[in-house]
Amino acid sequence: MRCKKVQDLIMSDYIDGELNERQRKQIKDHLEGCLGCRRVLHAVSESAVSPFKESKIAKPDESVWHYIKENIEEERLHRLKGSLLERIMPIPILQKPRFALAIIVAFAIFVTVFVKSPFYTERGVNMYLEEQIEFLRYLGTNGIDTIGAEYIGLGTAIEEYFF
Amino acid sequence: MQEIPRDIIIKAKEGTIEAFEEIYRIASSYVYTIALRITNRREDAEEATQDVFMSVYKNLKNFKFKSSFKTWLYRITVNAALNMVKRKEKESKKTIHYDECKNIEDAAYVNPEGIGAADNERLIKSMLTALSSEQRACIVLKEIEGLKYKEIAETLRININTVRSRLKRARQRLILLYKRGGSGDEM
Repeated sequence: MRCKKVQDLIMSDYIDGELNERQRKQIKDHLEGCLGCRRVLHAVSESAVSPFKESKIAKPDESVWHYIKENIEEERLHRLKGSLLERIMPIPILQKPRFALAIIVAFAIFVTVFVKSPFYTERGVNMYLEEQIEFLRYLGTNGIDTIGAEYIGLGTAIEEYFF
Repeated sequence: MQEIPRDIIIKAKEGTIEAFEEIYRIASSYVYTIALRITNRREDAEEATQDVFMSVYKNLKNFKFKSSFKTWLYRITVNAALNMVKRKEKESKKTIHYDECKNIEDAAYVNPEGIGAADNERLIKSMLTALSSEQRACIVLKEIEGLKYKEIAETLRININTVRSRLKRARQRLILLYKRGGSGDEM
């Protein structure tokens, strides 16, 4: 095996244990007879591999978890508000803007027409009341005689009791 | 990182906060360590860790167990850390070039034999600063997390040959730094 190829493998697969048994043996056999490649292996081990073997696992401060937990709770609250809004609008048709707008417009037209109807203006109500008052007054005074005259001569004895 | 039990993941997917906390307790150190090694700053690593777990919380319902949970988590972590590095570089309007690093780190990167734990931490930090963020991600996943090439490729969504090539280039840089540090060894 050529030195260039061996040194490439030393820098990667050999030192990282990615070679199979046969390939490892080939490299080992080459190293036994090649000082240059042994020096490369030594340099890689010393400078690029060994320092990391002493590396410790670091632990984050407890404040990191508190921050995450706060954010999660805020997220849940935000989701809850969103779902409450969905509950008070159960009618699917209202969730579609066009349909909602059409219903609002139809309602507005209905209210406008209804309010402008002669039966529901204040003037209309007043007129009706005045008519009723006049009629009742009419019943309480001369109106009776006038009404009675209409019934004279109808041939019923009951007329004698009233007029 | 130990595998997280499937039933805990399922409970967390359903919204159980206690299950999610358990995932945090198991995985947070590993997530934080990766973030710290890639960003090289404690504050950035903490922020990246928060981003990672918020992302996990929001997207857990979409996790379908097609890949391993560990791979998925590592992917989110590396992306969050790399994004943090890019963001901070933009903010400071200063990119770390190898030549700049060479000058800074030559002084720090001396012969590593016989140094204590604190010195080793400084050494690792200076070594990682000398690498590009992509090389750093590969070295961290390989040397610190012990992932295989296939797992690294899956995590970073790159070709396995790209993994190999980035590791090789990263090690070549580190050897050059070591050599300039005056070990006296000739290659």
